[in-house]
Amino acid sequence: MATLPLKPQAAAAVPQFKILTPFQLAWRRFRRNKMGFVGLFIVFAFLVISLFANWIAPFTYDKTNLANVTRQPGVSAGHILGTDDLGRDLFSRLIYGARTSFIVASTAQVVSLVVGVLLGFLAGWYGGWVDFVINRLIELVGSLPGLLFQILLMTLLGNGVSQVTFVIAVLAWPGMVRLVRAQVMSYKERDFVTASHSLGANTAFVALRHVLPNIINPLIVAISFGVPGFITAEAGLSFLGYGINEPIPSWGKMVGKAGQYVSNPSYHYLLIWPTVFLAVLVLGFAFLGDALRDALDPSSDRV
Amino acid sequence: MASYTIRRLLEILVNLLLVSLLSFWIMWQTPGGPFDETNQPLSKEAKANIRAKYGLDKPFYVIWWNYVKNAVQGDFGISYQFPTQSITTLFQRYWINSLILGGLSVLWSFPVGAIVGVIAALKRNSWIDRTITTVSLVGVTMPQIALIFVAILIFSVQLKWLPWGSGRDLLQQKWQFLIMPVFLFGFPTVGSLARYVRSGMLDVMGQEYIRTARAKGLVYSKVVMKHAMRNMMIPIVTLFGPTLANAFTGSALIEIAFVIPGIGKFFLDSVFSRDYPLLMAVTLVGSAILSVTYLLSDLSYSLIDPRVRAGGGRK
Repeated sequence: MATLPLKPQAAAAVPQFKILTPFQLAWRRFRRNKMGFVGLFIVFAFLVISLFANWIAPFTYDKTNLANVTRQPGVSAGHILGTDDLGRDLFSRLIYGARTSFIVASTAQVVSLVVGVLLGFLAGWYGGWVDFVINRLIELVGSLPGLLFQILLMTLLGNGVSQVTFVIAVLAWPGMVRLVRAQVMSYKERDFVTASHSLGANTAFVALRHVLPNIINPLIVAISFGVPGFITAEAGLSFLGYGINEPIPSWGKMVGKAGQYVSNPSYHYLLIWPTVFLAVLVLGFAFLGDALRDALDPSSDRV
Repeated sequence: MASYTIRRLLEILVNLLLVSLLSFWIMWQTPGGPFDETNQPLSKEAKANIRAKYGLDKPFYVIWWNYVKNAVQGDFGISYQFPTQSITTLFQRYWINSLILGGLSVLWSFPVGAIVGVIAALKRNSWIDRTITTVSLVGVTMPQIALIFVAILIFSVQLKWLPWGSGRDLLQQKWQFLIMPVFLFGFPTVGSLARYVRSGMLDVMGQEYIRTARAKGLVYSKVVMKHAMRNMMIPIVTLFGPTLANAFTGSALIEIAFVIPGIGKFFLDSVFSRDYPLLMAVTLVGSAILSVTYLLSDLSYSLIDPRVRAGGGRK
């Protein structure tokens, strides 16, 4: 008996498609966006800087030297970006400032994400009075005059990293709840959810196994726009003097302090550098978020 | 529609009561106060007199309820900083600057944002589109304080073209002074509106009724103007509510940086001097304005688009 041919000729005629996972598809779309790559690089670079601030920064952020105040930028004495009005190394403070921004923004993001997913799911899934109460809460927070109310809260709590984080998160969660609620409501009635239910799955299983994976993409996009928003919010509060406490560096605080001497050109470096750091990081996030939206949500406008 | 409006108005009232309770409680808890006794200690009797005069000797909820009753009639109490003037008068004096700033910003940013968004959508994927999308992304996300100081550094300090920061009322300023604040206030609106309008427009232009209109021989420009533009009103109205509310409540950051005596700067000064009645009043009025503008923009949806039923289609 003749052996079967190992390579049948007919199979070669069938075109071979590589099956791509959703992640691979998203990565393909992401790769096409140059600005997205620039954003990714910027965010990654700042993340590394803030993680390894202890090794990268030539000085500590709080070492004052009153004999060496407002030294102009230059390579001499190791202060490449100069020193501030208390003789602290500006470059080191900027690097530690990245850490402050990341800590505040990511904590505020995690808090509002957890609250948002929980309340959004409750409201969208159960509806009825649960939805009503959560909606009233959203409306209450949404009708507060944002920045002014945050300042009011800060006067109650006092300046500090955890206080700023709390105050930012307090006003940030309703957006997340709205997003999750709308998504959950649209998936609740889908056939695969009903099918899972009828097979005996309980609510928690359906929520985690069937609904959550479907809403993860809009959540990622929301996070990539949320974090730069929180960095901006922290900078704004610190700028006004209701944010991070001394001696912890914050870019917004540095801008606010140096802004008072804006008419004196010899202090401009103290104003320009924190502004540049803040703007570059936030824009990096924005470009990354934009590319992520295009990659993760194929139905969005730019195909 | 009428019952929906009434229900929403009731909700707003309850909401405002809660906001007043919340902000009242915050101020009740806040340490420090107008009576600083480190330099001038007061006798017990004098202190009791002052507390009685301002009605601070009663329990929390009584004071709050009295406050609400008076506030409804437009009496927000006595400001600690300016005891001789009513808070309503103070509002008028400071709010006018915020209103000028916000109003002018809305006036330029809305048309520009909408037009730019339409252009981007019609020239999709060209260099014009890419420039517009990138600049609007910058406008939406760029921190205001960064833009403010870049602008001041370039145009006021280096080039000396535009003045900034004299602290006078806007009506007494030269018109050049307004350029930077009005531009900076409106820039984020231009950005977000352009992006909304662009994606909405692309969405509409892909619809079948647009193809039908084209197929029956309508001129392209007419299709855009008559069929697409009408649907573009939705994103514009969506953004108009919050933007208008912003214009009313002012931008504290811009007012501080340019030393404009608007409501945001006034609020910060009041925080500094712990002027609780004023802080309460600004928070409450700001909250009321926000709630009402949201209601108005929800109501206007159903006026523009008959498909949208006010009340969210609840049975």
